[in-house]
This record gives sequence, structure tokens and C-alpha cells, in this order.
Amino acid sequence: MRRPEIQHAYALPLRGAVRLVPAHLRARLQEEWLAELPFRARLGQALGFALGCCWAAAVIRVQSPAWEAPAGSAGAPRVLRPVAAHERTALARRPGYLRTPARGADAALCEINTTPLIDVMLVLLVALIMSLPVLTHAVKLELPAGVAPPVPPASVVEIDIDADGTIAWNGTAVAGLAQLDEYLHRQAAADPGAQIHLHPDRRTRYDVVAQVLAATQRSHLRHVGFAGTSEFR
Amino acid sequence: MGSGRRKIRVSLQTLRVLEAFLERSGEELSGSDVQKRSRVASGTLYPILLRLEAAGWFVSRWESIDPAAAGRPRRRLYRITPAGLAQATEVFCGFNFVRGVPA
Repeated sequence: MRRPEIQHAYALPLRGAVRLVPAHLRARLQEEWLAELPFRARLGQALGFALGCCWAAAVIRVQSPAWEAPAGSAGAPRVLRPVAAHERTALARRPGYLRTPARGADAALCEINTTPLIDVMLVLLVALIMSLPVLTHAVKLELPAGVAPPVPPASVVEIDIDADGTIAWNGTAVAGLAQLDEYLHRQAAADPGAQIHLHPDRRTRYDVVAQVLAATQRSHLRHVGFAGTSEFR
Repeated sequence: MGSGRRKIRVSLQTLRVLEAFLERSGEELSGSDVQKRSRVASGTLYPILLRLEAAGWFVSRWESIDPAAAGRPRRRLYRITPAGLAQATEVFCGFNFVRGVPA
């Protein structure tokens, strides 16, 4: 027995194929073919069976009128009534005259109805697509195993600048820019990724703040930012 | 399906299907059984089965199982009729049939 989804995929073309056969055979052939489908163990067998049933439906559609006609009448020639001149004019005005010039029970089929054939073809296409294995495009990478060492948290230096220009290094007042330079270089040597948080007072002159920024640039510390800027808004 | 004596066009595939039934004439065969024995593809097999059934050579019925208990749907089983057996024998004699392939 096949997987249910594959079996269901192949049941679609069978249901489409039985639309080709005469109406009184549809229910029987659909049930018969769907019952035979699980006995096709392999994928190719099921697909071949489904395709074969589509072909069988087309053959049955063409041949079944000859089987079911009364004995002796199968070979009887069809007598076509000649169309009178006035009828030709009336017929020619009907839409679709060129495609179906004759109507009625005895009318001959002048063309193949391709709609069911196209239906079956589309259903077969869908079934084929559904039955294909999923293609995976993957690149094999050998990733490093083990646990990465924890990253030490960066040290944070708080620099406060008061309104009168006094600079504080982590709360401790700094004598001047020269000492601040020394502190910054020492910090850069100890931890190049240290974060410098500047807390200037809103009344501080920009000249002092600019000198502190210049000092941080000289020490090659890159993580410098203003903290607590809400008071400037 | 209709019945009655009707002239049947006998092809090589038809002979193979008939041979599958003649090996065990009283046995009922499903489509897959006939396909395994005759090695006729399903696209050819089912028109032959329906044609021979319409001609009265075969009769068919649904399998007598409970689909829920069996876990699968019921199959259609075909059996050759006495009239079909007689006509098939006549056909094989006419072909001088030797084990699967006409001589």
C-alpha cells in the first residue's frame, strides 16, 4: 500500500479520466480504478497505472458506442439528409454553425472535445509535480563545535562635567585636562573597548566639552557617547 | 453492459487476457490480477475487459468485502462465462495458440 498523500495524488488523474467515459460507466470505473490503485506498490507502477487509466478512458470513450450498439447495426452506414438551400442560409446565421453544423441525437461529431483532455493533462501535471521529491540545495559547512568563551563586559567610565567646567572621573574630580589625558590613556591601555559616558551639565560651556571629546580622541577610545541627554531637550 | 454473441476483434493483447482467464477458468480475477498474469498495460487492459464483458464473454461483480474492515475499497472481479470460454477456446484453436504467443 502506498502513502495516503501519494495515493491521493494519483487519484486525481483517475477522477479526471473517468470524465471521458460514457456516463453510465463513470461511477463503476472510478471506483474500480481507485480500488486497484493501492495494489501498485511502487511509485512508477502507480504513475503508470494512472496514465494507463487515462488512456483507457479515452479508448473506452471512442470504442464503447460500437460495443453497446445492437448487434448488426454497428456497421450500418449513416445516411445524412441533404440540407436544402433555404436551410443552409438559416443555419449559416446561427452562431457556431461552422463548428457544429448539425445538431440532434443523430448528429455526427465534427470535432474532438478537447476540454476533458486538457483537464486530464493538467491533473496529471499536478500529480507529477506533487509526487516529485523535494529538491534541496544545501551547502555542507563544518561549523566549530563546543561552547564559545564568554565575552567579558566592557568597562564603563562615567565622566561628569559641571557647570563651572569641573571634570569628574567616575565621581572623582580631575585636576585638569592633563590628568584626564593620563586617565584616558591608562584606560585605553587596560581596555581598548571601554565605554566613555559623558554627563555634561546643561550650563557647561561647549569649549570644555569639546576639549574632553578631543582628549578621548587622542586616547583612541572609540566608544564615546553622551548619556542622559534628556535634559537638553 | 450488453450481452449476446458478437464478433470480437481479437488482438494479441486480447489473447493474453483470455489466456489469463483460461489458466483458471472458474476463478474471479481483478484488474491487477489480470495485469500481472497477462502483462497487458492498464491502458489496454480495461478497454478489453469492458469489450469482452459487453460481448458476454465475461461477467463482473463487486468484491464481497467490508471496505472498513479490510482497510481498502472493494475491487471489481471478472470471471469468464461458459459462452466466453467456448468462444475463447475456439479462438485459440484458430490461432494454433502455443503458450502465450500465437504460432
